[in-house]
Amino acid sequence: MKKVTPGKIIFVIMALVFAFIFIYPVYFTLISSLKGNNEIWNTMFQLPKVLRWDNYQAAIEEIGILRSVLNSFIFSFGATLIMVLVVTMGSYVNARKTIKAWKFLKMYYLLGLMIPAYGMLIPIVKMFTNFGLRDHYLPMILLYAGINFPMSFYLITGYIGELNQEIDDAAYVDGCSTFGIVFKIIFPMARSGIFTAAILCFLGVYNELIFANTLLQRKSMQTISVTLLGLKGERFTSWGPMFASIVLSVIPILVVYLLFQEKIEGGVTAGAVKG
Amino acid sequence: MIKSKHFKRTAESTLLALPAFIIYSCIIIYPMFSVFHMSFFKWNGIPSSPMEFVGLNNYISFFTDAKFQTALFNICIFILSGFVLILPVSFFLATVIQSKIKAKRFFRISYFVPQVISRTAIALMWYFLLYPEGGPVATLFKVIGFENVNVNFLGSKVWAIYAITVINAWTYAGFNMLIFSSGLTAIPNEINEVATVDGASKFQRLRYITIPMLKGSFQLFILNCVIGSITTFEMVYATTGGGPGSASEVFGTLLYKNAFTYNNYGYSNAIGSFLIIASFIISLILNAVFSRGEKE
Repeated sequence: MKKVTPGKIIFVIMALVFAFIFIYPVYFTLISSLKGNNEIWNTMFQLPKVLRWDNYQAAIEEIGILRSVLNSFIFSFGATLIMVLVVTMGSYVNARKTIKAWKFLKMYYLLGLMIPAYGMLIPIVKMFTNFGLRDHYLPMILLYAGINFPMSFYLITGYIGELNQEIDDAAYVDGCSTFGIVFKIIFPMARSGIFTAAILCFLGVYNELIFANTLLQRKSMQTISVTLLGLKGERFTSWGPMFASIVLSVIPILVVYLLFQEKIEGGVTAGAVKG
Repeated sequence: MIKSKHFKRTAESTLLALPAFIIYSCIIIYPMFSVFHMSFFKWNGIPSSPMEFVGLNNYISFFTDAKFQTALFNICIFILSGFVLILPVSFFLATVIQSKIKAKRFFRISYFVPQVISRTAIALMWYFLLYPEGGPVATLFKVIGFENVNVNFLGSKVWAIYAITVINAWTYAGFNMLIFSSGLTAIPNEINEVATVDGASKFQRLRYITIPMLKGSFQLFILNCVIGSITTFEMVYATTGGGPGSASEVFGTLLYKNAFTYNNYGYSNAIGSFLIIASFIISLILNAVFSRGEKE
């Protein structure tokens, strides 16, 4: 039998209090998304008496939140796909040092890890405006792939560097091309590390605000962050649809998180480096 | 024969490395130099209008601007809040998910959840939580007896920045919890067991075993806290946008506003290059300090 000491009780109570602090804002948003105006402010803990699904109808039809969720998904998937392809190819070369410039490239890419991407906001906006790239999917996807490049490169190069080199050396001796090695051997072998980087990239792009807010002006192109930010300024007669919009834009990412919890948590810690 | 094989490998490797090099150079490096270049000019952002060379004027007016001091002050508050709020809370949360508490997965998920939610959604959620007329926080203040407190925190010139740092702490505590928790995992159980047998108290174990062995975690925390605070932007932009007035301005919001509200693109780029150089130098310094500590 374990002893129950006062210290342990306080510890559990504190743990619960913090759980409440972190969960309550999410819970409040969820219950309010199904309430009318008065009920939102009068009952802050209770579940709604009548489920006001019309809030969700308004979020979808008037605010157009599902379109924004779709856009966020398109940008995230696209950027992640390109990032994985480009980074894994580049990472292999660097991890195995198959070109002389690997040292230079390592420092060159490390620089990107140390500087904030939004510092370059104005030249990028200028570039997008000059070439008419605003409000298009592909340029935005490439931009996001580039912004997430340094972190992904760092993670994937580290992962490939720890893989057993004998296998790809043997393939090389047997006459396999370097392209063959990367696509047939490294991709499957490094898939766990690649997946970690991919999911971090996906999360980052899905939630990104600054570049999306400046470069996407057409409503049909806007991502969740841009749409949600726009809601803050508007004077709504009812609050419910705004809560419903938050819920609809957060649910997909919560599902992704709960499905890949360990991957995401592991990736976040592995990526917690600044240079 | 061998030579041609080697040549083929080099050629293929170059091709493999090329897309990465091009994307990175176009999206990070070229714009970075463009920021440095444009920071010496006065430009209103209209492509057809000329850029006028003004030397260091943009930098001088930025560093002498009262808003620069406000931003600097606010960033210091951010860093400070990291040490007095995020550090102890996330350390405690790490001990919770490392303890033998029941329903550990529940605690782990609930502490970490803010980290995956969009900063804008978080800002909007807290906008409602902090709603002055009847929002949950305002109600809480009333219930515990602070009826005369002005509960419009985000709308207050004095309190806005502190309210933002609380929201920021709420968001990032889970992330830092994982940093400390992975540090705690690395401490072998035997050390604590031996110390307990030798009669070390809980506090002594914390002071002489846990904290020294978590050095790496603390370094990572400091690095992320300092750099993250200097470059903080989304959270402020989404909650107050730097307001009311310019009370909660940080470097990021100043950069954004000067470009897209005041059409002062050259000035904005001076802020941009200041940010790029500052975060680069500070991460170099911190890394050097920490790695020197390692050698000793």
